[in-house]
Amino acid sequence: MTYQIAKDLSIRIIKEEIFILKRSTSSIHSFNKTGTMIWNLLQEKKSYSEITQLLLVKFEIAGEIIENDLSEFLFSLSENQLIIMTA
Amino acid sequence: MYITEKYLKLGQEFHPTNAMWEVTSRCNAQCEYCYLHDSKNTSEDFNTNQMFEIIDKLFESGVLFITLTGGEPFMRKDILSILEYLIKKDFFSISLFSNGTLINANHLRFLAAYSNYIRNIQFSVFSHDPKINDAYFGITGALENTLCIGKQLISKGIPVTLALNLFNFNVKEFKNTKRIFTEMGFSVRTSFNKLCLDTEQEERINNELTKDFYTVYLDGFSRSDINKMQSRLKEKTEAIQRNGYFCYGLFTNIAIDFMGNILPCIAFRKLFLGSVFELRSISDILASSQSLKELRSLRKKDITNCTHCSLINECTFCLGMMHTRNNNFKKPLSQYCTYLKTLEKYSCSV
Repeated sequence: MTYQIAKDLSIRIIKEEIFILKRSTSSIHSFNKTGTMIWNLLQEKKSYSEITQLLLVKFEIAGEIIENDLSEFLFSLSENQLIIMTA
Repeated sequence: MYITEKYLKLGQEFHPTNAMWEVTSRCNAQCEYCYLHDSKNTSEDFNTNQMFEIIDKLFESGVLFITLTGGEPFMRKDILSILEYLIKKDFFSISLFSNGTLINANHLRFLAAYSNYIRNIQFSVFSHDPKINDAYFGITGALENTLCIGKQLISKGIPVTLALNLFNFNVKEFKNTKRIFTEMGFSVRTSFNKLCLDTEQEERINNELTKDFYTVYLDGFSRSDINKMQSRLKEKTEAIQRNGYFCYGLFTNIAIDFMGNILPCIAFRKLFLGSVFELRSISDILASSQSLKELRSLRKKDITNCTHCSLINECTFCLGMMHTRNNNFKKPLSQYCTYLKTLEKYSCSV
């Protein structure tokens, strides 16, 4: 699975808080610290497994939990059209 | 955390996310109650480069949403350059307050091309009757022009709000006016609050906003509408008590007046936190402002003239309007008191 950041986004980082505006829907999104970290990794074009590995190292919790949470987060990003997921 | 909570947190750390900016004091209209009435057309506008400097400063401080107002923003020959620069900086949204009479085909083309950056354009109106509307503005053809431009903007996907400010001459018909404009596809916002700069202006406004005025205004609503108004007032004051501060905007908003002064919001005409042209960042200016610190820590019990009022729990007076009139926070404008007392008597009698 590969992930592409959607094109019609405006992104601002203010005091480490990220705000993303999707212009076509006028929806504004913001994430917690972990979400922001994952977003930054997506911008660096990291794959699912690379992101999982990095999260495992950072959080030292069970891989299954990380994978579930990451999948849920990526699904939510895709549902809000912030990323495009392609097989 | 909800996004609005994040905006509040940023505001508490002196990064306002909303800014209202007077890009000029010049205006082609002659509205009698305009708070810029005496300063209108008296000062020179900042040049385009100075405007870009202000935009850079606002961007650096974290402003996401910006509203351009005046005076009349379209009096500026470089308004499209200013809008273009705002768009290039990628502010989340731009709103405009205008009288709509100076927007030409070129402006329209530009706004349509960048419609996904324009959150809303608000036009001031005073009546659905062109004679009444145009007489107040002092501009022949004002209403026809504004409505024509407004409809074109709506057709290009730009939301347009008509702001109907109420006076004795239009309050009786305001429901009808609102209906007519709504049927045309506009959102309509009505208000009657008027900023007073001095005693003379306050006297004139108090002669306008009397118990009879408010009674006529309230006559335009059903019993359930009146109940909803009172509930909303109570909810708002309960929120103030829960949150411990007067107004969310004191944290999330700033305003820049036509002289480059930084204000807590546009209603604070005499409370300057600093100048946008200082070498310091806007955030540093806000962080070091003792006035802002005092403002943010104000509570209802500090408004000494109100503490024994039976309506204090329903009152949502504006601190900005209070300070502009009195240069202090000791008593509210009597237009608030008259409105609340009329609303209370009205809801008991209906």
